[in-house]
Amino acid sequence: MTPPDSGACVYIVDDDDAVRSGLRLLLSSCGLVTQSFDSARAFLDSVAVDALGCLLLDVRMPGISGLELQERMEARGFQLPVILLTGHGDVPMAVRAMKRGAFDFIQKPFNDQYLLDRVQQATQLSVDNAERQRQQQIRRGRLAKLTSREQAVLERLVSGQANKVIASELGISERTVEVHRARVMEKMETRTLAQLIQLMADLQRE
Amino acid sequence: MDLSVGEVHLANRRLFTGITRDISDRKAAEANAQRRLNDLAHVSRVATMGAMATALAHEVNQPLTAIISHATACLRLLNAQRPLGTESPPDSLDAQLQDSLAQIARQGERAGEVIRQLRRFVRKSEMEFHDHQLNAVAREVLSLLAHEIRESKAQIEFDLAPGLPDVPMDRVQIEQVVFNLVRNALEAMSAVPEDQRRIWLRTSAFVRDGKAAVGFCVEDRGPGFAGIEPSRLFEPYFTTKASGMGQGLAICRSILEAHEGGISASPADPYGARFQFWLPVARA
Repeated sequence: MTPPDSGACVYIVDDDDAVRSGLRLLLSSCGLVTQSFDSARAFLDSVAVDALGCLLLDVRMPGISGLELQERMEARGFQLPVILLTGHGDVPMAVRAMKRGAFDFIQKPFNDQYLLDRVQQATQLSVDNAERQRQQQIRRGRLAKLTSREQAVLERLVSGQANKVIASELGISERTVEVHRARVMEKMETRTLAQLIQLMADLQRE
Repeated sequence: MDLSVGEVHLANRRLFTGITRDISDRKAAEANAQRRLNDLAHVSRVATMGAMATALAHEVNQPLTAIISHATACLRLLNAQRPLGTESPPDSLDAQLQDSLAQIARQGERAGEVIRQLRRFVRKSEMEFHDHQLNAVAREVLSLLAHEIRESKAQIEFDLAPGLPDVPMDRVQIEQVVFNLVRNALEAMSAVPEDQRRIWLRTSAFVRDGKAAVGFCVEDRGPGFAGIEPSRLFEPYFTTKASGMGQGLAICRSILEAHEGGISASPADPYGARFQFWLPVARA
């Protein structure tokens, strides 16, 4: 269960008042925070790009359709997982939505437990992603604080060179390499070489 | 065979002439045209049922969704009030409310299932996609409408782009769309003076959302949309015709959506209406 203090919110976009209020009540009966909008435009006008949680989106609405909103969100850099709701369940639309990276596609009327499970999973994904990005940011910050000599030692450590080889390559004593190595481990907040290598691999993957 | 007999009087003599003509080709062509019209009428009926079921599904699913989510939410709120692991006494108000709410949700789901079955039942009998030339489809439909066009006295201008790529389509369905659009254009001008009745038909190739597409456009010089938001025209049951069912354009839209294409309406310049649809050259 996503804790309510994570800042995560379930955003609802549906042009039908009764559907919106039903969804709000259902989600809040499970302790989820919700915000609802009667149009895609209203959502875009008031929700920030870095919003956490998930979006429950009606596919067919007047004005900007659900699929169009999904497209615009992607263009703006939203990372909010999108669960599309449809009263039609037509397959081509579902295929297109999923190809564009929708988290799921649920046909109205839906099974409440399934909807709640998927909302929880999507929200968890959003919170986890944001947390991972925050961690990466911190690590990048730590990496930037290394001196150029420490960075040179780090690069060679990660590529598997022994202290002796590093010392001769950089023209410094092995003892000095050890001191740099200890400083790198301390600044990067890692305890073992394996952890350090993992961390660097994670950073490069982004 | 067609036989015509005539009588001629020539200097006190009565002469009879007989002319026989072999009209089997003409008859065959007429029968063929009639068959095509019957095909279109059949597609139209099937598509009308499909569009009505779709509209019904949407209209009914919205309130059903509201009913089910309200009922299940109330059920959860009631359950949350009770200490964990306890049950309400069987005859208590609490237990009765729970039963009733569960019943509301279950019956709502049942109604949803009925709608789903209806949708399955009328789902367009398997569509058949083959590569066809949109220009050829346009010409074919025009020949089917030749009679109506003559009656309407409208002047038709053709601008078919040369070298259009073949696109995958269910040909009879796309013919149905072109048929509906051209006939709408003809009907739209019934109150316009005869010498001002003009229709433009255009086909074109272009790129849409980064993908190759072909398009068809019909423009008339009828009264236009008279302030109606053009996108509303595609809603089922929406009609401006006194005797209309409001299905024609809704059917066109659902046919094009099934083809992964689209259709739109806009005011023509300087006046009248313009409808255009497009089809992707390659299906996803």
